[in-house]
Amino acid sequence: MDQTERMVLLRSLPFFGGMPEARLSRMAAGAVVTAHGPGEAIAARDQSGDAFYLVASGRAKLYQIGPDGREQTLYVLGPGEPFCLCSLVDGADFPAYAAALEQTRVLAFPARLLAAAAREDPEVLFDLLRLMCRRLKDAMAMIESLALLGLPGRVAGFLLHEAARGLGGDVVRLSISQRELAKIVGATPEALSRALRRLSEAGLVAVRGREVEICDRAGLAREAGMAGEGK
Amino acid sequence: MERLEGTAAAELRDILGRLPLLADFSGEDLDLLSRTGAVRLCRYARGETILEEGDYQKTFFVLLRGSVRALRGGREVASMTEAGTIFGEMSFVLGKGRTATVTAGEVCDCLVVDMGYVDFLQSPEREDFLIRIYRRLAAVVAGRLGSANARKAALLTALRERREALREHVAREREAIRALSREVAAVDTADDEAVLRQLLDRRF
Repeated sequence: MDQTERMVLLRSLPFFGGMPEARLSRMAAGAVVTAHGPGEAIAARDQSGDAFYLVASGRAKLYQIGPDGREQTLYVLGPGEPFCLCSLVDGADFPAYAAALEQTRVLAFPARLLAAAAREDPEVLFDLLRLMCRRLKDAMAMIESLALLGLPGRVAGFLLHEAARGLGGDVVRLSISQRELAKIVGATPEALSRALRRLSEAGLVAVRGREVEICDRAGLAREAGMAGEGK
Repeated sequence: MERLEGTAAAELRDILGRLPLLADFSGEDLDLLSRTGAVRLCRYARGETILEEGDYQKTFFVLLRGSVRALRGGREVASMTEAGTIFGEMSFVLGKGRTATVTAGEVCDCLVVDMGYVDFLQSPEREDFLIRIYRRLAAVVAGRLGSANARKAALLTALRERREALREHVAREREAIRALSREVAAVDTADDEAVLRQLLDRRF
């Protein structure tokens, strides 16, 4: 991945987009690019978490390993999405493992690069803070939906979340297999398709393969227990 | 809300000195910040609203004494009693309205950090202040994100366990039915009375 390609990618992201040319160019040059095949680990908890990562292309998952040794997917990350945000904060543990879901390229920014940028401009820290707060807010919304809702509600919440961050308006194109999605909402693939069928019979969505069209946003928001937030 | 000054403010100085958020600030720094209005010590009466759902302000709060309750849509979603708890920072960082209303559970003292006032500080004090505050806030948010992730993982794991338990139960039931149908199939059906007797002996 050459410097121009890196610059184009970074420029397109909210976190880096506002940086002055010289600083952005230093960040791009200082990043380490790695390529990973499906299933391959990107970073693990026992490695020193003193870098901040960004998915350049492909798709990766962030997961934790439970006491029983089994993994639990926490986030699925697409191009442009950062991870290991917390590793830049003093004393914070690298909270999870990351692995590629498909052929994936990852940029790693050493913490000292970001620290130097932050010394020049505190707004870099604020932007990082904003990324973390956004993810915290998402995590809390998901916790609430997991804790309180039945499966159709959890699927509805997931679809609204995907629609909110995608560009397709009311059409959500699932970027992960139904199997991965099932893992995320905590269901079997069979139960997931039943839940999707229930939502579509209720006229809330129309499912065409991997494409899900949201037909009744307010209804879906009600189903997800987020009355008033679906508009 | 009553702005605390003089003796009342001095009493809180000890608590302020122990706050991780302000660990990078000296006594003089704090004096400067409180003179400019960037930080204020405020006392709220029992039940008084500290911040309101939907409002947007560039302020966040640190609970110093007493307790507060967070309400969303009139329903209590959290209560905070621990001195040093930071609240209201998400709205300021994300630039969105408050997601909950926070009221004083009893008489409570808070440190109000007004990031709007920071713009009036001179360079390089301004940058200096921002770096120190942002770093500490980042540590707080990172800690919360870590626990949120752990809780999310625990919930997902609990769901998976429930699912597996149910699957095992279904498998056991299915096996029992299969065993019964094998038995029924093996019954000699030539003599209906004998069949009936055998079935009754199974005490269905």
